Amino acid sequence: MGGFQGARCIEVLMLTWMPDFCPTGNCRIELEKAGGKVDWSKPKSFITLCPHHRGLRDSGLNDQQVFDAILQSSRVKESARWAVKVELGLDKEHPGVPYRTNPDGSFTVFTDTASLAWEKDSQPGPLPTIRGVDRNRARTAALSAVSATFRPIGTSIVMVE
Amino acid sequence: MMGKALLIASTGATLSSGNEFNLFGYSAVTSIEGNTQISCTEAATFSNLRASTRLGNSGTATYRFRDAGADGNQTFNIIGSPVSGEDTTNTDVLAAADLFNISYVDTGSNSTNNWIVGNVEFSSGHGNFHAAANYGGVIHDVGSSTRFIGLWGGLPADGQTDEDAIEWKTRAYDTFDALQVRCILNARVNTSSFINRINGNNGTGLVEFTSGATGLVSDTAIGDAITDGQTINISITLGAGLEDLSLCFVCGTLKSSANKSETIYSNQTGRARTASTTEHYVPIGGSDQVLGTFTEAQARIKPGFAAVVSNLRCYLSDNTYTGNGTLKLYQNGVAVITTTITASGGAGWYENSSDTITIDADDELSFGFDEGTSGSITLRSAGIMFAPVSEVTQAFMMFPPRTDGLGRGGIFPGNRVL
Repeated sequence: MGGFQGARCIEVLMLTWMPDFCPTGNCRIELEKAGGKVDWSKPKSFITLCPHHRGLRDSGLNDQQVFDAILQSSRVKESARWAVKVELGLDKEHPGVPYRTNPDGSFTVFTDTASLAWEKDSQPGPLPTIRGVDRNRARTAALSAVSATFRPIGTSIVMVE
Repeated sequence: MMGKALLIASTGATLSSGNEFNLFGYSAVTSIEGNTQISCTEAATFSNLRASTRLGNSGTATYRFRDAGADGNQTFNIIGSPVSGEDTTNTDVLAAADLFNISYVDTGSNSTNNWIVGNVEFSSGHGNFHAAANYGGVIHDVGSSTRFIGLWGGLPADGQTDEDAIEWKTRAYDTFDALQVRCILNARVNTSSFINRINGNNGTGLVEFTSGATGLVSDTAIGDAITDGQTINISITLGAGLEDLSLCFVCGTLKSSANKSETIYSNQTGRARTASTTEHYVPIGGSDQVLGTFTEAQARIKPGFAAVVSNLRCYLSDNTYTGNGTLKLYQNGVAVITTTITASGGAGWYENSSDTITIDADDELSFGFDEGTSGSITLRSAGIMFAPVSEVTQAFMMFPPRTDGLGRGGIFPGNRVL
């Protein structure tokens, strides 16, 4: 584990993951690639840390704990979005239930019709009728999915609107 | 020495104010900038951002290069349509791993463009970025399967089962340098893998997304050798399950030790053309659109550098023409290279590997598909190679032949078929 290397560090030959859900800025994490696999269990190094995740590190978490928090934050977010898509019966081609990353790193997942609108072949994509009861059901499913996901210290919380 | 390469976004998608996109063929835009940010895996200079608007744009449209989520230097306005615009002054110098994209705002109606184009010059060596994109995201969810994706045109759902149909026979590149994939939705319960492919075999590049991971994963440590005429593309392998994986783009960095590059016009799912004496014009790169969308003049793109252009070719996944058809390269509105699409030739590559032309930086190029008598073809990709102009030829282009009857003698390198 290489540790934090500072902003704008340029390394040409590496495998990196840049999460797309940091509240501001971007984390950029180098991962180990060996034997035809990428090792997602630990970071090889942090090339950059966004202010939010740097804050986790500054609060006393070690590199492994910060990495686990970032990865599991992604997983809780995705489990909630998928649960909403399934529960609302969105079209197979719907590109994904929208969410917002809040300044504190938490996520807000949206279930209203306007937020779920999408395009297919430059036309509005199909959406089911979404009533209040449907949104409640989706909210319950999403939070249940989050609860079932491993959430180590530093994992972002998920809210469903 | 030719340092620049050409990036082309050509798409049927209309731009509305606040949209973000990038300089690659794509099938949908977005207002989410992160979806469109591609990593500049090589330190490079971007220049000559330009666009040609065909319809709409009742006000002023502003295009701007974006560097790591902030305004870059290149920008220009287009007022009305049909109008073209270009920033001929400013450049954006990016370090390796900087993120880049293009933003669009307008003060009137939406814009429909013929193309949006820019040049890129790597700081070390020569090459180009090639990508297939759908910035709104497109679902891949066929579990327990390996499928194939090209690095050009719009990014279709689920990849293709027929690798031949989406691969590109490269004449320019000799190194597959880097691979990056942006994933914006990942409900998969296992790891999803992307591998660069060379001539139907796995390369050493590997991009993976573990379950639930979203964002941009880049493998810049590839460096796989490619030889002239080999094919390139990528594969996607999903484990068991039907959960969504939504992708915005797949992008490869290709390099050439001989300072060559290519542009590719593509429809990965195939575009049928029924034989016709009405010629269909398309740009030299970007995402395929409905045939008849472009006039020849609308399809023209200025590469922006002097070059020798060659190897006009296309891959057809079906060809039932009853008479020979043609793929033509136009230079400033004149057909200068023709590739014959042999009648009843079936699926395969059709290439003119002998004829070349020399262009200067202001020449404009387009493609045309014509003839065929009856039957049809299904087009997957078409493209050309750019090679450096020799020093002798370049000297003549700087000091063109006299037209007063007192010729310089020797080689005449003007814009002709050599």
